[in-house]
Amino acid sequence: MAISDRHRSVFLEEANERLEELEASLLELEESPADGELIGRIFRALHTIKGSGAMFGFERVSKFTHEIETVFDLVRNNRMSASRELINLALQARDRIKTMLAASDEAGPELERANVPLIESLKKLIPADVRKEPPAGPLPSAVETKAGERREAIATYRIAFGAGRNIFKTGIDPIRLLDELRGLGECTVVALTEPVPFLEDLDPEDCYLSWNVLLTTNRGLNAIKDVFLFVEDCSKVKIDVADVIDPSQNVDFQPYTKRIGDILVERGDVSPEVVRQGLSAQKRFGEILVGMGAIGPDKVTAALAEQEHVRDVREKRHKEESVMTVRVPAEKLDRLVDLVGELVTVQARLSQAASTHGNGSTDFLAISEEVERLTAELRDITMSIRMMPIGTTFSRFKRLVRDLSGELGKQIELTTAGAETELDKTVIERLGDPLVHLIRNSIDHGIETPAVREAAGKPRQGSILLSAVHAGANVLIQITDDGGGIDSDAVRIKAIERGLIAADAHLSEQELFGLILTPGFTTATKVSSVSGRGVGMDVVKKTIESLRGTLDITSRKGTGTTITLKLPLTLAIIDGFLTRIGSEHFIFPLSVVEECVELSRDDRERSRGRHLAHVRGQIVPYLRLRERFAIGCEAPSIEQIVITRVNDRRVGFVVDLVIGGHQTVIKNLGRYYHGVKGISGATILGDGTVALILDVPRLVRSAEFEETNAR
Amino acid sequence: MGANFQQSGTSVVITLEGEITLPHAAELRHTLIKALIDSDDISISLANAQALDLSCLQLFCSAHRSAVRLKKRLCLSGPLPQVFTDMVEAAGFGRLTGCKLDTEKSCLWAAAHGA
Repeated sequence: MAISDRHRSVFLEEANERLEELEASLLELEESPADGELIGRIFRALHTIKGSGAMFGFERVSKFTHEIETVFDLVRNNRMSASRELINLALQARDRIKTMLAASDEAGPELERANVPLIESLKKLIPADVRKEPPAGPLPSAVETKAGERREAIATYRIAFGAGRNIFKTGIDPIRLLDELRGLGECTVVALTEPVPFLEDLDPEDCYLSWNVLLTTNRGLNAIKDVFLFVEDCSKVKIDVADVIDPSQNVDFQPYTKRIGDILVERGDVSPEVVRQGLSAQKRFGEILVGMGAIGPDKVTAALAEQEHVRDVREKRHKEESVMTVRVPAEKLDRLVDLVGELVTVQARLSQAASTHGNGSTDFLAISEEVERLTAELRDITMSIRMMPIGTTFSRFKRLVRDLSGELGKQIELTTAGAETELDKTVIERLGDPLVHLIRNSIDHGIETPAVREAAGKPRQGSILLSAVHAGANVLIQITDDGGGIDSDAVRIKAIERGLIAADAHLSEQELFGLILTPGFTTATKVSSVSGRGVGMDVVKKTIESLRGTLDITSRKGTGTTITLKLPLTLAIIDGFLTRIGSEHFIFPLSVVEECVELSRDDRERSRGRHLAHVRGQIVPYLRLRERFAIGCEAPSIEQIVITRVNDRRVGFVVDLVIGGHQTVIKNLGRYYHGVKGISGATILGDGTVALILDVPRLVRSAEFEETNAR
Repeated sequence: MGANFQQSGTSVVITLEGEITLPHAAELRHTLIKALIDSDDISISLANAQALDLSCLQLFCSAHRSAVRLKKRLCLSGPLPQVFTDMVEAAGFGRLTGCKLDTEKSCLWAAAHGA
């Protein structure tokens, strides 16, 4: 019982992935309805769901999917086109399949009944003449006996098609036959024009042409023979097998022969340059034969085409196979990351012990260095395993935008940029809902209706740009719309209404926008099914902050709004900068540290209480962490200022001693310390003591806040 | 099918219009033969062609061979319409790089594929 449950859940995972693919492909198809590759992809996704559904006991799903697959088979064979209606129905069907997969067994019959009208609508789309044909099911050439092994026997056929003189007179166009062959699989066609006579000898209604076709297909020999059924009498068709890709054999074994050129170079008899020259002077074999007069150039072209075709097909297949992935339960990965984190901590202790005690033993030091190197590499790879491209999240938004804008009667296009930008897996998962909310806001409140836009001189179609880019140790995700922007006056009024600010308070635009992020705030006059209840933005802010990120809003009334999310690349390990004040250790994230300068007691006294330092002609304000954190003991006569850069501003932090770089495995402080401002976590040092990690932007902000309030 | 002749000296530009298909193949052949007799430099424009088929491609191929044999020049003047380039690809002419008669390396299909 347990085993089949496991198989079931693997099937469900894979089926849901196919459904994601299906949705994305259908949306793309709407943009380019004639794209054969997309149609093929859609067909294959449906085919897979149908087949494996049946195998794992999801008969109803399989039957239902079969109906849609049949229709797309017709599209694939150019018997009908992919209209917008068809795509709508297909998307609905895809949603139904998803529901059916998640539903319990009892719900099955009812769901099945609910599908009937959808199937009817699909069938109605089939053109009348096509409907009368008996369904042409492909011969089951798939080897679907074992779960997970779904490879078909693929063969490449060489087809010599001599059309025959009288073919034009039969009314059959040879090009249509070539197109039918193309419908069976990957096809390379070369025409043989040698027999075409000079103009005075040519009968314009005769056909002197023949073709060499390379066809890679899994449909079998009979499907190919069928194509030429009606021209059997006047044409000559010869079909050979050129290449077979046997799925049971994974490796292409080729006996290894060392090349003469390589041997000569290795022996030092010739230089690589000479070999290169010699090779370029070599005539290609085909050319030699043509020179001999043995064959015509068109035959060589045809043979070269075969060579290329076979090579391309094999290469493509090889590429598909090497991009194989391994499924790993997320918990195992998390455990791995934890262990690596602990390893990094212990390795730091080892390095410290080696430098303190290892002076007598070069072995000890060497070993410790090697361990450090390996640990660093292990850390990098483990972190990168958890990194996934954010594009996987982006794709679900296309559907959202399409459906939602339709619902609200607006025309909106969603474009994405930087889908390949990688982020930690956990971060991506937790970003999903906030991003949905932000996009919904743009659609609902940001972008105006086409009429309003036109009146404002904007294009009727609004656009939302969702972009992601690496910036230092962070990822910047932006949602930009070209809608009406945030009305800061409306925000002001609402804020006063809610008692958030005094009626005469003077706030900058930035500060006003920040108010939007408070719970319950919304300037929407109507609460729609989509948004306006005011429960969103503050939750978004909390989520982003829990990921140690920041959220910024910029907006221009009439032009649009941009929301910028800044998130750290990894949650677990950062490069830190270790410092000491008194007997306490503090860590700065290395990414914000620019430099360190000395601060003597004289400098301090000279500046008369103003916390400003002169660094190479520039004035840099600084914070005295000693005072901030109320660290008792006396300061040394010479202190250090760690100068950081936050939001393009340089701010210094005064510490007693700068120790240096430190790989910091971030540990959370725990619930009780959650509210401590200015500390974002802690780490364990090599000797077992705890160092606190400073939340530099936060510290700067609260210092600025205090300053403005003090005035 | 319509054929428009613009003669200037020994050069001619033939503009073919409408449907250049099997029913008009005999007419097209006649037109091409006449051009090869009267001119040394023949340029065929397909800008106004609505439809073509295999018989047309075959005729062009044949005409080009004849031109090369007569040491005359025959080419298709660009830009080539989509309906033509699609047909060239569909008919498998796109990979041709010249036959043994093509001493001048002026194969029509090599030029069409590059377009």
